[in-house]
Amino acid sequence: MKIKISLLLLLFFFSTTKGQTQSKHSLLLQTGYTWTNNLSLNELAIENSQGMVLDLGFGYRLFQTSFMFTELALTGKTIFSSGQLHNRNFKATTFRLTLPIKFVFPVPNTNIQLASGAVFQNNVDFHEFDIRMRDKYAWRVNFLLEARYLLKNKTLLTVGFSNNLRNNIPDPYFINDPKIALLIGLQKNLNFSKNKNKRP
Amino acid sequence: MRIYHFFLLLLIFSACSKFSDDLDLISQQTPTLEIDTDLPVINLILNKEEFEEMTSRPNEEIEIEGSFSLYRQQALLIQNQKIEIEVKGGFSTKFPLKSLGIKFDEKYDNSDRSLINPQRVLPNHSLDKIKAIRLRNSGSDFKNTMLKDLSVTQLAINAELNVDLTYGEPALVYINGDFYGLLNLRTEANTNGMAGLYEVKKKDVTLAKITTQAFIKKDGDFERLDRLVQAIANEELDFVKSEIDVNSFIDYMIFESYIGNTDWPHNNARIHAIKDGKFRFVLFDLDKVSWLKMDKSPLQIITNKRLIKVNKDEATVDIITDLFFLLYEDTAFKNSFWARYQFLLDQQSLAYDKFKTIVDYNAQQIVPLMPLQIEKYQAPGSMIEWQIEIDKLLSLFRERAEVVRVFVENR
Repeated sequence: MKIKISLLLLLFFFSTTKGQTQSKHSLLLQTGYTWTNNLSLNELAIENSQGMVLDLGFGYRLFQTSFMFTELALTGKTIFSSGQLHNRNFKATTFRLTLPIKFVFPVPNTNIQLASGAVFQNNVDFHEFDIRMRDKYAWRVNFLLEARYLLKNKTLLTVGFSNNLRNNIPDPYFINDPKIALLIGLQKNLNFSKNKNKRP
Repeated sequence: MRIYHFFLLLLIFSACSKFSDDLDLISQQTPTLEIDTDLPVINLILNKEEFEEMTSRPNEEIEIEGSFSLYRQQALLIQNQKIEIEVKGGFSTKFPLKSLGIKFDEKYDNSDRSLINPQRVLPNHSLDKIKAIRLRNSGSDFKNTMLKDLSVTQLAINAELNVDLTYGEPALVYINGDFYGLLNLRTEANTNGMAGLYEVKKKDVTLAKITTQAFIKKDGDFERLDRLVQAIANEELDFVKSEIDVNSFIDYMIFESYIGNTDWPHNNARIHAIKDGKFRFVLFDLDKVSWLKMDKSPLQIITNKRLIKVNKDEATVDIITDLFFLLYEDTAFKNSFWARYQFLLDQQSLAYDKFKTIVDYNAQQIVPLMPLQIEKYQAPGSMIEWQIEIDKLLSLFRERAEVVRVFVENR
């Protein structure tokens, strides 16, 4: 059933595509607060599980229709997290490469855009040369909700919320990269136009 | 390479984290031989240069001589026993803390449990005479929990399964009085180990091991081993049933498939026979259980990685899988296999709660000493990472147990 719905959505999506795959690039910078509620390790509660996120990356506009466009990005996310277990403080610095896919809906006659999508990322550290991804929870998918406001010079102010979508992932996977994040940032659209008429 | 392959590789390779915690606050012990611990403390007196040479070339089977002492509760119970020592293991030899095989000059009389004192010993096994022990670095679990293989084996012991296995307990090991590391003191899974368990001489044991490379006849009656392999290949069911301890085989297959051992049956399998007795199976190297493929059914685990074939003159070396499916065609065996599976599940002897009790006990034993290990080897990197790995082990085991329960009940 899920597959059929996905196919219908895809059909709808492509049927409304203008056929215009104009490339639009952008630079993304976001920062924010991240946390997890009710986290435990071997039945001991982790207190004050929280952190700061710094997300820097590059976006690419894939498809555009009359009322929306799709954006694929590649970002490097650094999480500075901390918490307490057994009255002992711990800190962690974690780096993850993320792959956000966003569906962006510009609000007509305003400078506002609303976006929703999913962020795919690795959920475990890469310790050894092993590309088989043998951990069942090697991947994480976050739901993403974002609002953007066009400031000027193709610069957007972004405010986002993300939450882990895979509910069955055990708690240890969220200690250094918490479940929920509130993000604020800037997005700068770039145009790499080719000037063919340029003379030496 | 397609674009999504590029992104996939980037995602895989770009993941790292660095933990830190208040290690100083909990590292209150100095690693001397008089350390206050309930664990056995082993001191190996070895020639320093010879030891360094041996550990720097771990795959060359260099054996050196030395002496062995052991303390329990700060009392010296074993003093200067002559030993031969060598680096053991395959993949795990690359870790700075090596697994060491220790062979005593004479069989050690362990009837007072001074050398090795596991919580429980199966009624058909003896630990009274020990020729050799292994100080294990926990294999591929070295950087993680340090207690996975030991705890999973203890689950099989507590369930009183009809299998042969290795016994053990965590131990602190020193070389010439200097702290070497936290290792697991284990009995052996080889010919010496089986001879000890059944109180027979080494020459009375026929043993072969199955690795990813080959079917290796180690000791004893090689013709009998060849005949068994040939009979499995030729599907001679009656002969095979007459040579195999079928009840032991059933328990062995149930346990390995229940725990989801993904480094098996193509590897880490051994069969042995005492004198003219039937072939039994040795449970060992369980450090890759409940790790991946947890959603697989028991039969899918047994079928896992049927990749290896020997030369043209011999039958398949994927002997465990072939043997199982040969016997599985027999209705009596098939019914016995599933009836035993259901019985063990109903009895709750392999349940998550039982496993958790074992893991909690082992973790409690080594938790005061983990800071020493972390300070010396940064493996794991911090106490919080060690606790994360223990929680993952328990979480993944619980999922595996549920997957198997649902499968067996609905099959």
